[in-house]
Amino acid sequence: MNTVDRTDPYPWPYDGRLDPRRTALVVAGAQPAWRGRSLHVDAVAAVIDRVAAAVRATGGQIVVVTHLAPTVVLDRGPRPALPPLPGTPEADPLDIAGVADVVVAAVGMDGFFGSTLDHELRRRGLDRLVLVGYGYEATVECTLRGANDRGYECLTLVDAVAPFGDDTAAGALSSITMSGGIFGAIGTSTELLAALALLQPHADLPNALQTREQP
Amino acid sequence: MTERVVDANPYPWPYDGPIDPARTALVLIDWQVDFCGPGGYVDSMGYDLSLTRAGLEPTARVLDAARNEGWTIIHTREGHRPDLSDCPPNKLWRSKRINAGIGDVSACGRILVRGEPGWEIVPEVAPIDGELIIDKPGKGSFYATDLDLLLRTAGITHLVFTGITTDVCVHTTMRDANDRGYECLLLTDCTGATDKGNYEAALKMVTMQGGVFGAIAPSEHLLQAIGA
Repeated sequence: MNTVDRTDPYPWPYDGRLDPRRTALVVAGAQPAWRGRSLHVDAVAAVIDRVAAAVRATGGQIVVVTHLAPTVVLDRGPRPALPPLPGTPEADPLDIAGVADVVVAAVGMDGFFGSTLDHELRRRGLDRLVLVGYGYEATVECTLRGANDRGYECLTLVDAVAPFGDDTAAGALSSITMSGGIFGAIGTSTELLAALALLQPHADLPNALQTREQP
Repeated sequence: MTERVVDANPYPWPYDGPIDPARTALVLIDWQVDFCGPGGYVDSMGYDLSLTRAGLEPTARVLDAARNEGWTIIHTREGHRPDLSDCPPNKLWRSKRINAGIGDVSACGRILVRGEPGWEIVPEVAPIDGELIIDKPGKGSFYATDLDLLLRTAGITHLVFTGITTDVCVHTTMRDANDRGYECLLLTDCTGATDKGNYEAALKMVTMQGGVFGAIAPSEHLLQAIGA
């Protein structure tokens, strides 16, 4: 059995088969519009980089998701500033693309809505998702919900999500763990990195962790 | 307030008021015995049923008013086929791990299985002839259902949400509706969760960033707006 230690409310993944080749790091809300309105963004960016390097080094995939306002929302007039308008600097993908294998554009806060995300994951055999990103309560949470209903086994990394508010983030993370893990499990990057390192004892992980790959 | 516009947070709802009964639907999410009835799924997990039942009475009042105004009424039910062929293996595993396995026999029949007593909507807000019912295998009411098609065909552009639980099925459906361009209002006293803190956080999330998923209001404000 290979699982990540101390994930809540159960050892993740559910079937005890932590397999980087079936694992995608999904970075949601990867745009200035979301990052600019989120808390703890510098710390979260550093964690995302470390996790991305480890996932890549062990054979996993990095998937970056951007979120645009759907046309129908633009048509209806007055609207919140999020999601960002297409074609604005606020909507450009963040430079996580240095380690991204796939960049997917959704037309809503759910990364699966109006996007090729499901297709990109399925065709690569990726059915375990590690969720991180900016605008946590909106983009990461919506994408988690979409993934969970589709049967993906999801882990949300609590120290790699940048929320709008600490109180709302606490509530959202707590909700994941209700009813035996209604949206999967939550855990920390430290535990995930330790679990990935154990899977590949001979891999040069420390070096990989320090090196940001070039596109 | 302007007539037929709801005093809501963070903006008067709907943004393009007044409320038009021909374009508005009341959505009642998962008012099933399994989620708010004695012996059902939530009860068997050991949660406090009064939290998920709290919204029943105000929801019944709103349902009555919406029916009188001729709104479209939509009920949803979460449940799986009797052979569980539409239940993802991780969802099944998680439920069994806490001894409330989907498909297991409980006091209300097989848990979360279509056609069982626990899957039925409780009598307080039960559907009447002509109202739409959406059967869904997941938390969201749009995934793997014909809800979007039904709403578009009926010309519905505005959705008022009630139901359980706030942070799970109600939030998922409201988020999906918002992505699809529907103008959404969640009635704060017509919904509940298995944890009070999570209920409160879920309500607050709707109001962030100028109403990132729509707006919230107590049902009294809606009833005032439509003169009910």
